Amino acid sequence: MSRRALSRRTLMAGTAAAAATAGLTGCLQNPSPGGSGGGAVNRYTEGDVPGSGTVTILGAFGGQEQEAFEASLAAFQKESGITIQYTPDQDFTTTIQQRVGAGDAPDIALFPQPGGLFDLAENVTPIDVFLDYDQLNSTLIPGFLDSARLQGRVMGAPMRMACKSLIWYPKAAYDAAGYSTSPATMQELIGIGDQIKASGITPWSDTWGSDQATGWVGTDWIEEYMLRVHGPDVYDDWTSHRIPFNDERVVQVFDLVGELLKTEGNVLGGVDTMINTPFSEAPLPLFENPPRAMLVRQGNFVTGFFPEDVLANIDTEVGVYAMPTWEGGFEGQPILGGGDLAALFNLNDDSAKVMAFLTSDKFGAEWAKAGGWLSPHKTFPQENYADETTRSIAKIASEAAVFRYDGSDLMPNAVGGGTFWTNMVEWLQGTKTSQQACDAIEASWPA
Amino acid sequence: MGIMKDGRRRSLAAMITMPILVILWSIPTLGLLVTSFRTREAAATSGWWTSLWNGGWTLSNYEALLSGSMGTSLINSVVVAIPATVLPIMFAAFAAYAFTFIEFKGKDLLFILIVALMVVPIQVAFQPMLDFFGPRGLGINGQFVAVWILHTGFGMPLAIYTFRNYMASLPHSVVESAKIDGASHFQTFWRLVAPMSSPAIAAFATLQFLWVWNDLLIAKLFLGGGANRTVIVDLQQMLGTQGQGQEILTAGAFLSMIIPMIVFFSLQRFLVRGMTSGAVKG
Repeated sequence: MSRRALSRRTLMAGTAAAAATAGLTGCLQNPSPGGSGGGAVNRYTEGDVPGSGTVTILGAFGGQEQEAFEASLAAFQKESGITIQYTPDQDFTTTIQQRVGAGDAPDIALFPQPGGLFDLAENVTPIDVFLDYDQLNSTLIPGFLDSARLQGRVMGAPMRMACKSLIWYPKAAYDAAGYSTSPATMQELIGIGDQIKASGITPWSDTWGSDQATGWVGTDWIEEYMLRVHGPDVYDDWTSHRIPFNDERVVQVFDLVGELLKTEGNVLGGVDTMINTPFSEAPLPLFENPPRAMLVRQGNFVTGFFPEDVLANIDTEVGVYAMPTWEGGFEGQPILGGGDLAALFNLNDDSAKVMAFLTSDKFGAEWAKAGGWLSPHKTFPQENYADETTRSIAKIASEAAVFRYDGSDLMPNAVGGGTFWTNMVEWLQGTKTSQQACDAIEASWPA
Repeated sequence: MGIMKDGRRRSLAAMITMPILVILWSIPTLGLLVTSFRTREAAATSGWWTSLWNGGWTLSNYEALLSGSMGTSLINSVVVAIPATVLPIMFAAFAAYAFTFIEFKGKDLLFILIVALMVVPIQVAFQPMLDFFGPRGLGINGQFVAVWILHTGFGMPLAIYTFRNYMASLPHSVVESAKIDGASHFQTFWRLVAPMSSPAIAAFATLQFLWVWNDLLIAKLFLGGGANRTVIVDLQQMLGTQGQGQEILTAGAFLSMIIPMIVFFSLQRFLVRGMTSGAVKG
């Protein structure tokens, strides 16, 4: 999610995020008032601070996403009489720090990753103060609120979900060749890749280019494999640094990913093309006639980069299935994803109402129709999504046995937004072996 | 081989080199212009130079751009850029005059201090200035006056330095004879020094205007993305989470270039005239 914004500045202090994830497993109890864990929470009651009628929101997305977001808020604004002013900022991570530092915080901020939120935790009102934690947790996909937990308190609630573990293929050509659309294991999927290769087409299109953030696509590959080969527990240990980055299990995963991506003829154009082509262009070869590649692994947002004529007929042109499990690894279907977390800076009647709406399953019908957006709620009405493709992605995400937050967003920024990326590039180019890359990342982990 | 007006011979090397340089320097802009009329998919799959035979033309980038808030933000940019150019030049010209023609105590020290300020990067001042202009301080953050003050403050050291050096090269005899004729400092400045300095002023105005016009960081932090946003901030806001909508940027970049180009070409004529009109004649 939003690594472009994140990459611009590396202001985020990594220690906060590290402390947060360490606290994550230690303190999983519900922090609601009167609960057994922690102290009692001072609940906010309506009327304590009257609102001004206007609520300001700062977020990272503009353009069409902004239009859809504002459309989703229109009915709410009319009903409640609250005016919402949304300001997008591509440099969200930096801007929010500066505005909070200057005492000019927006009422609500939409954080693309938990790390930035934890850095500003002392200015944020935890959601248990003004939201119904239990009700929220019962409709959300499990794991979301935990990723926003700092020292036992949940600092923000998701208002958008990204689902990463998706394999895309050009439906007509793929079905015509008769490949399986529901491989049970990664090994089976790799076997399909070999069949595609034998038919004379390159199986995978995978591109990593993302300016200063080049390498994040690679970190996603590693995270997907970590989840599948070693399971969520080891994954949590890994992202929270309870096991070192150069643990032999991580090195093994690097080797496995390398086997897939670096084997001659597996990925379109080979290593140089992968690094030098923008990540947004990965799906394009799939839609050429005949396709130059058959498979792309990328999150749900990649539909935004499909050619227009494909987007118009997405259900007939594109197929998608979940990246399967690893035979001999973790048994359930894991899903890697992310989400934008809404966090409250100025608590009053109006901003609390907006937060309640933003984070509920009532929010987003208009955005879902516009496309490119997924609700983090299991209970979100599926018929709101514009097409079958999106509905099937929502189904994949809500049926996942395990949902895990993108690991590089959880790691300290020096790693997750720095050395992890750069070492992935060097590893792909072959200037570093799996062991050397892992050693280098481990050495860069802030103490 | 022809002979130029001033009697020198035309140089063959210059005649060949100049067009080549002009073409080379224009290529990126031309590429931008062509790309702004292409679809995102076409721009991603083939080079802009192949568009003549590959096609992929569209007007939708400009349509998407103009359906947004470009009109307002263009006006905002003008409202930001003109005072932010005029103010530093005005103050700096006064100061440079004083530093050149008036004797006062501590003049050199003060001048060195101001010149030293040139090396202070504007970025280090952001947080304290945000604090000062923000709700805890003056509360003018988000208003035009905040960016005017910032651009004036950070433009002035270089302006003072440039103007003083230029004024020092003006013939002192002119200023001295004005003094003998009984002209006050005010009259000397407006009637003599300011007109004679117009080349330096025009050159600096061009640079300052372009810098303010193209500025993203200060505009974003001190004006914000609200109703007062400038055209550059507006362009940046058209991007989605993963940079969706980049194709609109090429069109936007072209549109935002028009006004600086008008400024540049009109000031350039002024600049040349300023240089050719002599100060000490007859």
